[in-house]
Amino acid sequence: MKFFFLINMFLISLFSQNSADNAMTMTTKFKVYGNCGMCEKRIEKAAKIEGVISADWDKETHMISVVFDEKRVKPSQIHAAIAAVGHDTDKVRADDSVYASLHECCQYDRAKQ
Amino acid sequence: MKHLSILLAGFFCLLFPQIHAQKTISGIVTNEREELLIGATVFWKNTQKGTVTDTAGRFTIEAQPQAATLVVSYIGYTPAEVEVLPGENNIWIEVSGISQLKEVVVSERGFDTHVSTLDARNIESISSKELRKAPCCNLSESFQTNGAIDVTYPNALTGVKEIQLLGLRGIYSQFMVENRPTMTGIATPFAFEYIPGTWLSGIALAKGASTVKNGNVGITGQINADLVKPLTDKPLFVNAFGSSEGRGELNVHLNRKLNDQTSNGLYVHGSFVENRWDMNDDNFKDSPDRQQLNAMYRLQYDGPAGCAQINVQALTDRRQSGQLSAFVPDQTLFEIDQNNDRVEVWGKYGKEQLFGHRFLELGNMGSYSWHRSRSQFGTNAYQAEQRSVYWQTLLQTIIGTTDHALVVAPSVQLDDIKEQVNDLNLDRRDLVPGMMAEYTYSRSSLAMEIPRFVLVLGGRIDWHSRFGWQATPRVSAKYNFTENSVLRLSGGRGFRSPNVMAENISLLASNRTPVFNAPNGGNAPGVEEAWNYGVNYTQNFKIAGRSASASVDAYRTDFVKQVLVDVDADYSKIYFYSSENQSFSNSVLLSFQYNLLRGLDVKLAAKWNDVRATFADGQLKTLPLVARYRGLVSIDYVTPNKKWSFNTYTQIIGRQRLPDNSQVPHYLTHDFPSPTPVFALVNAQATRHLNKKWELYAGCENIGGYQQHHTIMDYTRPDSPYFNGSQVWAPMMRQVGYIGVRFSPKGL
Repeated sequence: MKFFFLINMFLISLFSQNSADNAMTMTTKFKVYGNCGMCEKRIEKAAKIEGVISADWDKETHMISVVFDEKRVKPSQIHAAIAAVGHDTDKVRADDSVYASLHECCQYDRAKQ
Repeated sequence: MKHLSILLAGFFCLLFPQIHAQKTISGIVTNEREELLIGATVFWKNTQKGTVTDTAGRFTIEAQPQAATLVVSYIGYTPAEVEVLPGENNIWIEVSGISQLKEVVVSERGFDTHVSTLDARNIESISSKELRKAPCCNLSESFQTNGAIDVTYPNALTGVKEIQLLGLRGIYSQFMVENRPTMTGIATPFAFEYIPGTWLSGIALAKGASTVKNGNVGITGQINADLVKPLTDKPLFVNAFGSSEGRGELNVHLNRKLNDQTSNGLYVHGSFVENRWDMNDDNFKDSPDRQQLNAMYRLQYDGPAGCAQINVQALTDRRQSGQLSAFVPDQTLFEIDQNNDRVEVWGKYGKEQLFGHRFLELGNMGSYSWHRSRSQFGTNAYQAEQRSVYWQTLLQTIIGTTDHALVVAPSVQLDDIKEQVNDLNLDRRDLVPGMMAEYTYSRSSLAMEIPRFVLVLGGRIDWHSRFGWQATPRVSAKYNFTENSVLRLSGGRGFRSPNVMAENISLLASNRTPVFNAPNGGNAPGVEEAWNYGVNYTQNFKIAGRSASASVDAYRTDFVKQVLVDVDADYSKIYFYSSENQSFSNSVLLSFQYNLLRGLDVKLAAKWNDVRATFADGQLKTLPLVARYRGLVSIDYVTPNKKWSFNTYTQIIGRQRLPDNSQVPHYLTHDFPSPTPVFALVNAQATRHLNKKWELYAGCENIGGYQQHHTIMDYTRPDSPYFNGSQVWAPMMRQVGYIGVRFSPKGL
């Protein structure tokens, strides 16, 4: 009986941990400026910082969908990580010098500051 | 068995959230600073299925079987739309402030002036991009490409330009810098010339009865200039400008971030005009020589303790004008010399989430200014000095839900003015404590992404040390038929204490004697009081897939009491007197903007003004120097590679009545026909964007060269009673060419 109880408690704690994890997994979507497949690789790689589970950027719509752990990372950090490699997001503007160093095909049209 | 039941119970615990999660999705709503928003509306687009976020900023909403769009809106923020795919069950949604929206609109090729469909008030936003289409050396010049505001022509003697809004003089609107009333009293005639063009980051022009937050003046509207800020302006910016009129300007901005929370900036403007032009051979200089040095320092803090800023502006301005040589030997030259000096210190402190209350905000602002004006107009001497103090504390909160917002603000204004015209002493001291309250109802609509109906009820009570208690009620409302069509109504009272001599200083450029009562005696100038009612309809639409916008404004101002400036009764006098007889202004403005081709924008505006007042002779007369009809055509083109931009605008000015010159000998009034002819002025500018750091521009004003040949009546005899330089109805400068450069090492 004690054995069953313990197994049960173990199972509950295991699963409830999991379901709590699920609840903390969040999806956020925002715009990232870029042009081509090369941009896509760079953007998605940059987005996968600590706490990000997956990142998927669509070069047609320019929208990125990021699944992340709410307890470990905030969207603003993901924005900053993407901007750090030269891609403007709808919230953070990349440094001009980093933008200028991007490959020619990645030189997306920038909004004037 | 017992074991099994425990086991089963455990499984149920596990299964239940699973089942629950399949039916609904949840998420949180934050602003751009990742602060949770309570009471934000969340709904599925094109449905009535919606909810609001709870006290933790979280929401739960029934899941949709396939991909669908969630719309999130929150008062004061731009609504966000997020596509939700099946399987996504916890979403982080951010909404951003309206100010952010404007920046996005500009970068996505929105119109450079636009009327928002969000605000309950008829506010025209003029972006910094629009301001770059004309040389724009100061604020008064920045209205040239705008259909709503008319700029009068400077007279040759004083060089003072005036603006008109809704057909009435600029003194009936309220001028503010970053929502703080400034340049009042004796500084009024120069207000717009003391804000250099490069300092402006945008102008908001509110027409009709607007908010009472900043006082009870502003009968016809409010002009709010937003200045560049240390944090967002370029670290170094240089602008140099030169024109064929002998005008040179230099603007330098220096901005530095001190740490993560504090930044400061220094902005210096120097300008001069120097020439000996006398194109019409009247022996008078065509425009005054001018020297202005103007500097501003800003220190701003934005951190956990709130937002604070302290600013100092200091300026000195000299103008000399008048006769270059006399017609008759030994005659003393008629000379005009104007000297203005000003120092102003102002600060603000604001804090959100006061005492831990999420929706309680506090704002404080205070200013102190000193202004001295010492001028000589021929034989007329004008000396004035003003010290002003202003303080306002503003509290903003919600009532129950965010649908109901309330602002209350006590304020106090002190003006100590010493003013002397020849032997006449006009010293006065005004103390005006007051209190305002404003309630806003704004309900997010489920069918639309913006509130469909917004109502603003505002009012203030002030006690004026000379004129007693004053109540100022105002109301404005808007209704959106669709997202792209909006109707606005406004109405309310305005009250002002006039500064008769300062506001009419350009009339001193004549040999007329100012008289402070009516021709038949009595009625010394007192307060001015008026009601304004207006309606605006704006429609945004597409023609052949390209955006267009059309709007109609109709406003009426009815004066209860007004100080009339009577220049008709006697050629040798100017009468200033109070009148309670009928006086009104009707103003209708039609405007249309269209993005005709990629990069090509066309703007058309037509205006009709009917401004009449009953003067002391009992006659209802149209006011002099107000054009009944005006038109504006502006065409802007940017090449596809964005290396070049071209801007042209043409103003058409209809007939204007001049003051009654029937007592003046006929041979002197040749250049003063009444009504004046209809004429057009064409201006053009080309800008070359060399690279990210450099920009060159060149243009020409008054390409057609239309001019009023003589602007000074009886110019050969400055001691004649008919001598008068204040009847200017057209520019007296023909073509004026200019070139300029803008430079910023970190990118413009």
